Amino acid sequence: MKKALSLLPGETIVLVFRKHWIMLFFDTIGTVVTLFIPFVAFFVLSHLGYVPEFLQRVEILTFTSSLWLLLVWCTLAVLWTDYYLDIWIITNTRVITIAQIDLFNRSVSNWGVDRIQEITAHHENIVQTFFNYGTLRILTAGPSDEYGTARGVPNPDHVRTVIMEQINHAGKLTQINNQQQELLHTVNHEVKSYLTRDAAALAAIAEGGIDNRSLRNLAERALKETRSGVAALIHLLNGATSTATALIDTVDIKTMVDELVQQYSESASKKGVTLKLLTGNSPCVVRGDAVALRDLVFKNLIDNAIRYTPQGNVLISLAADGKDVHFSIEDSGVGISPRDMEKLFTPGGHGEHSKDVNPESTGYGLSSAKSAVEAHNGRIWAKSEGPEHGATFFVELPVA
Amino acid sequence: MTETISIALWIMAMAASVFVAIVGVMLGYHWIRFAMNSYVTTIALIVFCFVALVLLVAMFSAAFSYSL
Repeated sequence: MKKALSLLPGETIVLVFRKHWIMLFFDTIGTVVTLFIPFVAFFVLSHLGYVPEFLQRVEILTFTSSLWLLLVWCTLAVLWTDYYLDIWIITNTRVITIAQIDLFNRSVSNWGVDRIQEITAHHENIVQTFFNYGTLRILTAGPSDEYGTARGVPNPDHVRTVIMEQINHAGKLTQINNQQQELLHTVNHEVKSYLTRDAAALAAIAEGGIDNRSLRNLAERALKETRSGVAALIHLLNGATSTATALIDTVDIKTMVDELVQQYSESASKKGVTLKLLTGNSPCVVRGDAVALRDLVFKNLIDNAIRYTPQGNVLISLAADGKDVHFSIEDSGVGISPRDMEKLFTPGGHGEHSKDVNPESTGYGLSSAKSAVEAHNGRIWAKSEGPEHGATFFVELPVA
Repeated sequence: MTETISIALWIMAMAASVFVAIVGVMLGYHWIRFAMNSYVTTIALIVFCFVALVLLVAMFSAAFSYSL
């Protein structure tokens, strides 16, 4: 058997069907009725005496009858071939229609299930309802919306349901793929950030001039950082990603941010950046995922502010008003152009010149931060007067 | 008159043979190339050829009888 169809890798056939048999029946009946017309005409005309004598000879009658039967037989063969080769194939990724039109015209159409926007099934008259066949209309998304129509489909409601199942399945797969991709980018971002910090520590040791006590402190801090990083990654890989955050822990944002400021103050001051934290008196406690908030939100924002401020000030403010916890981080760094501002929180949304300032930038830090904040029912946004005018990032999280 | 009709019958029979051969080749090509079930394809080809052959034999026999 020769394969009439090549399937894509991973593609499986879900349903194969032809037109309803009644369509072939109607075509066949029409041809058979045509078959009898000359015989009836000959019978009537010979009774009326209008047929010449030579046409009434047995040889001539046999010849003409055979010729007519041969023509009708060929017509029937073509009809049955058209019916047999008209096929609809539904796979897990495509709806394929193969249309055989006479013997010289054959067309194969594909509709990707991920592009199908709407699908309707119709029984157009009482015969179609009685024999349970009808028309299927498929609207696909594209540069110009495009309708595909399939007529004579047996049990069109069932076929529609099967296609809808494939569409839902494809949608779920796309969503899972996107989540996996986002997770991979987040892991990549985290790993890069820890490796960069470790590289900086190693560079400091290599430069020398560090006493034993400082060296020990540096090593301890690097170890603590790496442990924390690995724990955060395991936490992310366990499914506590930005898209599925369990709001179970009570998180003291003030303590968290204070620890981060202490952690970053030394590296900031070495760079010539003054890191300041201003906090109000009211408690800043939220309900949520401490690891996600620490590593994906506040650490990212503080790290970014220091990285994108060659020299100057980074001022962190933290306050609560009984409804929300308000966090802001203002820097006097390179600033953000209006063009970069549009894609700031999108996955892979690098600034135009961000790689010049921060070569390790993955473009997924702020996207992860946004996802994590939104998973906590909060919001995050940024303001900047433009390049070289610094930037301020704001985070609002509902209090516990 | 009889001779003319006889010649016409032979010509028509031969034309019908050529026509059936062309249709048969076209059908065979489509069935073998595109059909997904080789058993159905084989049976369809055998039935088509058999019926067409019977009708062609009838036509040639009639033409031969007429020309005698």
